Amino acid sequence: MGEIRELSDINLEVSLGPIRLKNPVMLASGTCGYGRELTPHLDLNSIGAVVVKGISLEPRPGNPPPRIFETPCGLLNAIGLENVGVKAFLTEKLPWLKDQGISTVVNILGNSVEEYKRLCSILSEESQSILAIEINVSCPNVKAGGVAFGRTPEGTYEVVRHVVEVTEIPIIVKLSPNVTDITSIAQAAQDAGAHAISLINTILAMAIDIEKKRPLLGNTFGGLSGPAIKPIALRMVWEAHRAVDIPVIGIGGISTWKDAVEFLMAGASAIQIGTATLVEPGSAKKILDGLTRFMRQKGYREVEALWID
Amino acid sequence: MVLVDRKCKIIHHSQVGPEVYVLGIDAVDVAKHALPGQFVMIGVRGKSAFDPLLRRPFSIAWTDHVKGMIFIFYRVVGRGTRLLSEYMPGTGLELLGPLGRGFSLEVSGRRILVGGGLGIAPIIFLYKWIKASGASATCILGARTGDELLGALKASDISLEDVIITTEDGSLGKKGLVTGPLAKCLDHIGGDATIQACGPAPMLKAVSNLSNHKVRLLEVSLESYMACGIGLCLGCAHKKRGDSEEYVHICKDGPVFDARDVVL
Repeated sequence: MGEIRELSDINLEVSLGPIRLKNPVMLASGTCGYGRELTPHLDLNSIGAVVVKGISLEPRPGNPPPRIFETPCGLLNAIGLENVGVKAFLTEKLPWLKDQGISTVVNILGNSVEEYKRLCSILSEESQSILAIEINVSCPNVKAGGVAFGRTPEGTYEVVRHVVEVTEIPIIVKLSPNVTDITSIAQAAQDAGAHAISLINTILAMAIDIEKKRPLLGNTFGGLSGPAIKPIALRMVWEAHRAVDIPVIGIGGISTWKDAVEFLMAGASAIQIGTATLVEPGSAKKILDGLTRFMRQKGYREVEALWID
Repeated sequence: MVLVDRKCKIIHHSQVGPEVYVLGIDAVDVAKHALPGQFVMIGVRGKSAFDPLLRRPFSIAWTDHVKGMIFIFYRVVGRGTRLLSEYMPGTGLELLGPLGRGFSLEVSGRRILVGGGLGIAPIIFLYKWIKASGASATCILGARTGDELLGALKASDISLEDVIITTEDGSLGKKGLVTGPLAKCLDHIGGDATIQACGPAPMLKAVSNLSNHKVRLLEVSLESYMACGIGLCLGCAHKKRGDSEEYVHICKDGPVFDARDVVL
C-alpha cells in the first residue's frame, strides 16, 4: 500500500440547478469562438460545456483596433462584442455543435430588456440543443451594451425576471465585478429566478500609449482578464457563494488546475476557462486532468466536497 | 492540415544586426507543411509561468526540409522579444503553427516581391519557394541598414545578386526605400503582373499607391497584436475597405490579403 490511497470512483458530474454537466470545467464566452475553431486543439466533448461567443439580435462589427493589449500577467481587451447575430448563429453555428453533441451554453447580450427577451424567445425554438443561456449583464466594452443592467441590483433583477418568463431554458447570469457590492447583485439575480450565476466578467481597465499620448485601445476602456485578476475573482466567488443558494460558476484568470481547485474551494460548483485558452488552446483539458488527479489523491469523491464550509 | 502545438527546441540563434536576430527551430512537421506567408505563435515565457502571458506571432522566414527546421527573423521591440533574444540553442519554446492564410503561390504574368524591414521574412520564404519551383520573380528588399539584410540573406542562402536591395542609410544596395526600384519596375510592365508585399504600414500604403491600376493583383501581409492566433478572441481586427464598418481578422482571414479588400 502506498502512502496515498487513490479513489477510483470519484464523481465529476455537477448539477447547476437544472443544468447537468459531466464535469465542472467549462469554456468561457469570448475565448472559444463558436466552439469549432478549437477542435484541432481540444475535444469539446471531454469538457463540461462550451459557452459560445456572446450573441446579439443583430450582427455586431465590434470595436475599432487596437482591440487587445498585454499587461503584466493579464490581457486587456475591447473586442466590442463582435458576433454574427442570432440568426446566423442558429443557421451556421449551432447545427454543428448539435451534431457533435457538445453541451452548449449560449451567451447573450442586449441593449434593452426587450432585446434580451426576444433573444431568449428565439433561442427557445432550439431548446433541445441548448443546455443553458448565459445572460451577459456585465460586458464593459460597448457603451450602449449590458453595463447599465449589471451595475445595479435593480437592473439585474429587471432583465432576469423578464427572461425567465419567456424561456424554459435554464438561465445563468454572468456578473460584472465592476460594482460596489457583488453580493447584492448576486441576490438580485437569485430573487429574479436565475438558475445559476457566473462570475467574474472582466475588470474595467485601460492602458495609455505614452509615445502617441493617447489611450492604447481603440475603445479607450477595455476589460482586464488573465492571472492578474484571479485573486479578485476568487474573493468575489467566495462572497457570492455565501450570499446566495443558487450555484456559482467561478471565472477569472484560471490558468492551472490549482487555480481551479481554489475556485471550487471558494464555493464554485463549476469553473470557466477563458484567457488561458487563448494562451494555450488545450488548457481546459489539462486543467480537468489535474483537477481529477487532485480529487483522487486527496479523496474528494465529488466536486462540491471541495467547498470550504 | 497539420497544426502543431508543442515544445520545440531552438537549434540556431544568431544576432544579424542591431537588435535583429535569426532563430532556427526544430519542428520537422511545421517545416514540411508551412506555406509562404503563414506564421507561428511562439511562447516566450521563461521560468515565470504567466509573464509575458501571450504567445507572440512571427512570420515564417523560411524552412529547411532537410534539417526539419523553421526560421524566423525578429527585432527586439519589447519585453517578449527581449526575453526571446536571451534564449540559447537547446532551449524549448512553445510553438503553435503553421497558422493563417499565406500568399497565392500560383500566379500568372510577372511577379514582383517587395519586403521591407522585418517584412522581408515572409518575402524571403516566398522567394525561395518560387525559385525552388523553377519560376522567377523580381525581389526587392529594403531595410534601415545593410547589416540586418546581409545577415538575413546569408542565413537564408539567398545571393545578393539575385535581389534588389535598398537601405535607408545607403550602406548596402541603393540608398532609399523599396518604392524607388518598384516604381522603375512598374514602368516596364504590362497589366498582368502581381505584387506580393510585406512591411511596415506606410510601406504597404506606398506600394499600393504606386501599383494602383498597374498590376492585376497586389497581395499584402498585415500584422497586428494577437492573443490567440487561431480566431478565438477576434482581437486582431483590421478594417475592411468600403463604407460599412466591417473588420477582417488577421490571424484567420489573413495575414495575407488582396489589397483591394482592406484599408491600408
